[in-house]
Amino acid sequence: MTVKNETDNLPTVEDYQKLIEELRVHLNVLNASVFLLEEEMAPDSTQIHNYMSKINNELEVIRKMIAATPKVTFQKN
Amino acid sequence: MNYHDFSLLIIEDEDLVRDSYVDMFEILGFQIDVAENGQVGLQKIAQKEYDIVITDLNMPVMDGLETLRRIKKKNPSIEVIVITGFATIENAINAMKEGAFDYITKPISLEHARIVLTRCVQHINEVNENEALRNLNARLQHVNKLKDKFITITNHELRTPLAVIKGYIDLINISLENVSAETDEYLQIVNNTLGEMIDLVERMHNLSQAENATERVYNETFNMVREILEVAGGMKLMFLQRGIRFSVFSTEKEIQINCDRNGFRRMIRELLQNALKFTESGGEVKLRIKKDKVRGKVYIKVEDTGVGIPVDQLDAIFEPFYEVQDVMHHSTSKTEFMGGGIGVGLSIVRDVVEAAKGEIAVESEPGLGSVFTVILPFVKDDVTV
Repeated sequence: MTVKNETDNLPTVEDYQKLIEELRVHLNVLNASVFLLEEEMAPDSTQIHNYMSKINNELEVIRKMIAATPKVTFQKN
Repeated sequence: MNYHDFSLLIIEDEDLVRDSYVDMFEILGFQIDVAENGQVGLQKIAQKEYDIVITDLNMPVMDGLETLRRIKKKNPSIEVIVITGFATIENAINAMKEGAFDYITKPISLEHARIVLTRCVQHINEVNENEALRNLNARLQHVNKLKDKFITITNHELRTPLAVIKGYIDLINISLENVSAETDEYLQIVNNTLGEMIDLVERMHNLSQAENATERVYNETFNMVREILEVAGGMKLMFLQRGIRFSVFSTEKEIQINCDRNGFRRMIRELLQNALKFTESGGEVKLRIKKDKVRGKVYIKVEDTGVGIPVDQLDAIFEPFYEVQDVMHHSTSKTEFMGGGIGVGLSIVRDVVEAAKGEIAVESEPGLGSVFTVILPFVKDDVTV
């Protein structure tokens, strides 16, 4: 016997999870491209080195924030 | 009472009696299986899901009481009804102490069986409904927790580091001399990705705002034609870049409406962004404003020659997180126009229109385009502005 789910029209946990995943994907791309940029530039100026260092600090803040987002542990009914 | 959705297992050792039970319970409409003793019954329960088991108490191989204990140990959700003679009602009472739902005395009357089974089915329904409510509650709490997390992320935490990174990337851009092709390419990717993340965060933020739209509405009277021209002017370049013809037509220079100005501007922006996103290069988008003095309404139509919306999906497009289809076939969508986005734009439009006591309609033909029409009441000329 099945019971009809009355929340089918609400945003689901999976919908939110998809958005977090989308952020994670973008963050991965950003991480990789910043890394490659840093490698490619091989900064000889202290100023650019400082900029890259600050970018990496901010990336770390975002990484921690997204990693702390609760993982979904149950399935849609 | 509908018994068709309920499966019932009858455990009875005497063939003729068992057949008579089958005939009786089939009349009520149950899906019925049979077993000749408790052991066979348990095997069947291991292979298939049953809602109710009706078992005789006195049986060879394994008696009804032992069968009941084992069923309740492994499958506590199965309801067990025991059948007993008048002389052994005490056994039936013992069975109820072991978890049986009820007992039926021999000889079984259809009416008595119907009463007991009806109560049993009602009980199962109640248990299932309670379970569904518990799941619903848990799910809503979980969704709410994630939503709160999103609001925190988008409002307070994610925007700042993204803006800081963007700032430093701009500074690097300015500071670099003789940029190699590779560096230029990586800078481009970083810029594009940052742009996408900022857009995504903005849209997530909009969703959380949209859910509270009615609480934040600040109504005022303003000239909606001017607001539309300003929003359209800002977006003109994006249409141009995309190779889409874009024009605005209005029957009047000034039409006063009373609603939330920021919400109205956002609604226009979302409608135009939607048209922009789903229209191919070489297509056309028109925004028409028409004042219907007789009805006291103003009609804002956004027409595009885009991909259109399948008829069966028209009802769903104003729901949050809905997107008609992916836009991968638009070469610039992914990077420049929030392609593959999260589908909250039109739900925001709906919320704004409802808050302004207006209506929204959509007509669409897949492959030919869509027309979104927003109908709002205008402020009559004799009303002091």
